[in-house]
Amino acid sequence: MASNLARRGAMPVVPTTATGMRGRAQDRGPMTTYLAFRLAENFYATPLSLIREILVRVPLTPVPRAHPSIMGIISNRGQLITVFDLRKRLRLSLSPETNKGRILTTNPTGVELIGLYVDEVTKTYKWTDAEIDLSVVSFGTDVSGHIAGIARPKEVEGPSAARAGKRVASGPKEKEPSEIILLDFKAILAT
Amino acid sequence: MMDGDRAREEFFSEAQEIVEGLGRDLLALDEGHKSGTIDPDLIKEVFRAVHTIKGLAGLFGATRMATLSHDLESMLDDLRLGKIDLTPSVLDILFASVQVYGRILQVEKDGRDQSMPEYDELIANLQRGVTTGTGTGGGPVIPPELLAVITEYEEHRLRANISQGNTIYRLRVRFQLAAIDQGLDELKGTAKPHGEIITYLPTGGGDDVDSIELDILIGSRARADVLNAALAHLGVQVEVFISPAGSGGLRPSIAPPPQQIPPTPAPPPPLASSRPTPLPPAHLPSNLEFELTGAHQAAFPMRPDRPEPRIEIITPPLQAKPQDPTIRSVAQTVRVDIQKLDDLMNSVADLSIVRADVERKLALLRDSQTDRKLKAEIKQLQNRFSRHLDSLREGILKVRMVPLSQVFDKLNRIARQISREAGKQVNPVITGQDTEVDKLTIEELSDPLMHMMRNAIDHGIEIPKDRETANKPVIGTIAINAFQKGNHVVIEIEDDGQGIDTERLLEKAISKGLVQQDEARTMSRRDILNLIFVPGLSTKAVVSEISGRGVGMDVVRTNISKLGGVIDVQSEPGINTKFTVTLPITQAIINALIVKVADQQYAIPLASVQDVGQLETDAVLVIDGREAVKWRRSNKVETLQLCDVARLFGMAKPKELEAPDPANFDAPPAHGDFGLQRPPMRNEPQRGDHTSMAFPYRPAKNSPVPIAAKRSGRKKKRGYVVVISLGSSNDSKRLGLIVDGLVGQQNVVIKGLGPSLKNVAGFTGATQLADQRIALVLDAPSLIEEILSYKGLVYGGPHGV
Repeated sequence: MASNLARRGAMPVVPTTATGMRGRAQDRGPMTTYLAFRLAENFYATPLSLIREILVRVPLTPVPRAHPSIMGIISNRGQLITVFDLRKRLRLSLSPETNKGRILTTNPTGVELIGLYVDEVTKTYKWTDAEIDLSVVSFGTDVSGHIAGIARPKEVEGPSAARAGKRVASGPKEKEPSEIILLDFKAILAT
Repeated sequence: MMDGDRAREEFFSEAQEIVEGLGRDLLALDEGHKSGTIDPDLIKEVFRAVHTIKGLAGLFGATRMATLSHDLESMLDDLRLGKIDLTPSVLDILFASVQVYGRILQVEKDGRDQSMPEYDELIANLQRGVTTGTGTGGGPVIPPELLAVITEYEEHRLRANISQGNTIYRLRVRFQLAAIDQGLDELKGTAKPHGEIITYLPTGGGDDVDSIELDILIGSRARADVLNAALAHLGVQVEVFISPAGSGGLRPSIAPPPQQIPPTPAPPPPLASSRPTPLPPAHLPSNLEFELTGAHQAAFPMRPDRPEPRIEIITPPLQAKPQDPTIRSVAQTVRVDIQKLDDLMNSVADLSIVRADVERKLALLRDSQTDRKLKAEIKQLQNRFSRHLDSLREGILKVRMVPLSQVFDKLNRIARQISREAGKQVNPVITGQDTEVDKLTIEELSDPLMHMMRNAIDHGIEIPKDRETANKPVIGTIAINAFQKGNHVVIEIEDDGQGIDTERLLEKAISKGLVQQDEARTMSRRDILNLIFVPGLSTKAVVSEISGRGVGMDVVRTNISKLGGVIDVQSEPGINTKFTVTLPITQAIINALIVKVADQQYAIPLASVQDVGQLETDAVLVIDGREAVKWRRSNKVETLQLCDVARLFGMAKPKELEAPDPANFDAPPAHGDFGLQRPPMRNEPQRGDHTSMAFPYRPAKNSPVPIAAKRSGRKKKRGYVVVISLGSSNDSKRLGLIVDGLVGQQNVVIKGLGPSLKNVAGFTGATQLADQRIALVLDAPSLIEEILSYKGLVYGGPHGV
């Protein structure tokens, strides 16, 4: 998804709302909107266009004997959707589920609409390809295949930008995460 | 990705098959050419093959193949219509094309993009065109009203027959619509030796709506009385239509559709269609057709020699108004996307939920002291609603049903091809192809059946020499039979081959560690035969081209199980092997028993449920490390093996059940080391506690006899037992599922689980219950197989299934 990235860079957060976009970085190429979410203590993002829907948690029906990272199935407007626990997929610690938990529905492989459980959906960002750090992709860890890049949102510079970074999900929030990992859903689900 | 690959694979095999068929037809054509009698049907056959390849190639973007087919098709069309003659040079081109097809397929398969000089040369040859033939201009006079209703090709054949000095006869025959397929086939078979069938023209006659009258024109050298004698038993009237010298002229009574003769409305009831030919015989029976995929349409083009759009189902033309001879379609059927039927079914399910709700409210009303008359009326209304809902559901289910012939025909073709490749002679005998099953079942069934067919030919039927030695007919027989049995459809595939070598099978299982030596001694023949369903076992030492490519009978069993079916095998060495597949007739909506296990609800198809009873304090026997109870069934006490669903699924149990007091029962022989102990299944989380518990069970109310109990002091309930079985016969396998509670009975719409859950055994799908919660639907047959089959298979063995 970020294959043509070359240069490290960071940009203040720009929300999806048109007001935040004014006149910024027109010369850096097209912007992509990313949806950021939290898993355990880490922040991740994926292109918003890949996300079909964000579901407030609905009762899950566990499927016995399924892969441990499969939380269960839900029915969304009559369609059965298998929900994966992204935290287990990424081998993160499991914090107790709160009412901030969401299910992102996506069809990364093109064969099945699936749900991905995240601890919290934080907000959206707009980044150009140039702002994504690709050097991590070659990390030697066993999950690095999932990482499509890293974005580093700058600390909010001014009052307008601070407003711009308003949250999608409510609740108190610490400062801007210093690093946001771009996930490649396809790679995650392939394992 | 996977799907694409598979579709591509199918494309290659299908194309390969057609090209091979093409080669054979060409050989026959060559023979005919040498002996001077060219069978026009063969040319048609070749044309059809090329046309099919063209369609396939187009679908899969095989450009060269499409181009070649297109050019060939043009040439063949000319050949067909007599515009060119079948000369040696034409034959050369045709034979070359078979080779080039083979090359193209190879290149496409390898995915290489290389130049192919032979292809270029052939295309150049084709485009240069072949020497024009004599053609059939002029010639005998054909009545214009006939000309108006026959195709160019038919006209050509008619002229050709006349110019060859054949008599053109008109056969008038009437068929019952229901039996027209067989009737036409029989007639064709009988008439063919006497001449060439040129065209079929419905007369529009016939006095009832269930039959149709046809005029069949046939060109023949035989005399009228000979033909009459040959065909009389089929109820055919034979008349000379055009006699060879042309002198006899026309009988007036050929039935061109009357509206084709503008001024005078003709006496016979007129045809509704302006063109009598929308009569693809194979399509007359009024089964609703489902949308075929593009590939299918390409693969089975209907009468490519008649390019007009085909009308799906023809109704008897009686109702049509004579003064309105338009193209008003006589079709009374529609193609329906199965998704739409699913949607309808969902609505029915929603209505069922409403019905259940009303039923509950009615039950509340019963106890209250309200107006008695009103109550009775509401009850009546509810009953009527219920009846209509049921008939609506059945109606939709019927629409979903399609005959098994869809897949059997394919099996037949495959059988011929495989036997050829394997150098064996096989005669497939198919019966019961009219048996109907759900459309979805058919789709899923074709692969497993195909594989079994391959197995039967590859592993079952011996090579001709061996069969002779064994005093068997040289041609092997593979009998495929289907019939309905209650709510199930049974499909049998039986070959009269060498049977399954149980000794070698067992040897192999032992060598692979699937069975222990000492265990092997106690295995019954049936147990051993069932080993062929275990992954990784194939008795054939040499993996053949055809079968044995890694997909084994285990996959077949899995697939059948996914359809809610079971498969069984019987075999006598040297005599036969018989596979029996039993499937539920329909998939979409089922009556299910909803049960509770821990905090989850599960649906068990009612068709599999035989009995329900409370599990109480008495005795659960522990036999050979398995929990069982005595169960009273039709005045006989049987031992029923139990399976604790909560434990099987690794779910938390209520406290008092977690810690049984060992003092409460006589120490079972191998306590703590038995029961469901076995290696975990794929994707199955490790089950923590395999300790079997000796909990008593008193069978359902129909058992007044106190069942001999193990010593036990407690009278605690342990929930309920749902007895599931593979069938209703006496020897079918049974299993008692221990559940925590019974919720009720309900019609549920089963929805399949997504691909990400396809490896999870034990569930056929899930369904949404009235409270919006989702319940998984238990796959009763696979659970029975899973639990019961540890015995003798992997019990104690080190390897997983």
